[in-house]
Amino acid sequence: MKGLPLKHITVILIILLASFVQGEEPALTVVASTTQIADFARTIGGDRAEVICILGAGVNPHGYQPVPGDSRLVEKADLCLENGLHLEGKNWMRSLAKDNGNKPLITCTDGVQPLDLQYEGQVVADPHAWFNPRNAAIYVRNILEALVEQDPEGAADYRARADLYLRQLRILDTWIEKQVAAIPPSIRILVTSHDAFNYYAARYGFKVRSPVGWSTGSEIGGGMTPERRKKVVESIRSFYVPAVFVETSVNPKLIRQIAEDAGVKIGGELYSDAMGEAGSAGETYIGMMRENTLVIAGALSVKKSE
Amino acid sequence: MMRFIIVALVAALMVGSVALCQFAVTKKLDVQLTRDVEAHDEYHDADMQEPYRVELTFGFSASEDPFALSSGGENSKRLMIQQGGKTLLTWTDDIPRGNVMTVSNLLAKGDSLELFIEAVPSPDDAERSVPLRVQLFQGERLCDDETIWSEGYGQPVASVVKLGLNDKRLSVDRGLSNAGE
Repeated sequence: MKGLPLKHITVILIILLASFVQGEEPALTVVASTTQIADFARTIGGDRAEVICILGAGVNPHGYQPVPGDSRLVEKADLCLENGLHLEGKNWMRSLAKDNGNKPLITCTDGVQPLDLQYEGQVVADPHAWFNPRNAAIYVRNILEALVEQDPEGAADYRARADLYLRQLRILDTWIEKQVAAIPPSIRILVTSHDAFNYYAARYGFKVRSPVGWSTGSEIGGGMTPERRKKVVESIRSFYVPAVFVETSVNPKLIRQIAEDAGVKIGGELYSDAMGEAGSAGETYIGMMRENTLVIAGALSVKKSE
Repeated sequence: MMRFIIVALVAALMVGSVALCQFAVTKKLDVQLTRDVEAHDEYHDADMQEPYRVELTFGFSASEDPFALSSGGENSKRLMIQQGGKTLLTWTDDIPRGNVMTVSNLLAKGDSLELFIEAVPSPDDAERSVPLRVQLFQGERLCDDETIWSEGYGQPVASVVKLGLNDKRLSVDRGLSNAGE
């Protein structure tokens, strides 16, 4: 058997060396509670940060129950990120960070001016702040500061990425305003399956209506009595809107029936508490906001042919 | 006769009041519309006969940027001017439309002066393309005159402006030249 020629050995050595270089460990491991926060952190962190998200696409953060695997993820984290304002039901992300090595935890909504939300007869701070891109910019700044504090060597890279991303958010914000301008002001009413869109509505001039009996996504389909259904139908009719919207994390079957009874169409599915699956149009924050806006504008805008 | 004197006195009083008001308004406007900033505290280069200054005329109102990299304090900028990577000015107060800001005592060598200028239009102005006029003076001599524009869509005015030191422009720029090229 002949030995390997020298040039082949050289090539193999180069490939091996390259694989060592490529296999460099990220400087930080970050664990985020929600898909939106994970997207912000990945965008700013780039290759320097490995970002793991506890919630998967389409998972409701309000009622999530942590599993043992989540603790293992948090154990190896350098930094934990939560939304705050009690989006994570019973503060499960805070508990995970505390119980698994007391990891540094950043609340991304710090600095956000919260809107009020009626919840089970009480007024609470609405946690869905990311639906206003200007609030998303606050999330980004909070995450940036946390990454810089944990990994000062990467500060210039983190700032440069955040700077570019904030410029993209600014374009997104103005683009949404332009799309919404095509909707007659009198029907800028969002009827959705749960109260997730208050910040979006406040920013772009919509009124939000949640029909009677629709309080959270989890209630839809469960415990719906004929009487309650009748009330829901009546309340939708009272809004005089051409379309209602369902959310990707909610079973649309019952809502379709209700919309049929009320004589309104389903305008489409909106991403709300979680973003879309990898490969879908809503897999990123910007994609999610873009698709939601296109669905809303498409359903409510006055078509030229009509 | 007495009546004539009284009428004359009243007329003089009225004209005087109007003139006084006009003077006060003009003086106040002047204070509001022009703000001077020293780029360098001291001017060291003895070879230079007279320092340069840049006058920026705002065709839009500038306010806090909700999408700034950092918010609050010094980072909450409405206007930033850099020369050679060094920040000459960071302005954190709102700037009304029509305002003229002057940056004086600018150092210049060679035949041009290059500045990076970033200004943040208020939300009302941000959607459309808005202009910022940049004029370079040495004493009373206009050396160069450029107008830079935002791209609209909420974007700030942000551009590198290369201003010639020689008195090469006889006509006033109307924003048709391409700044930074």
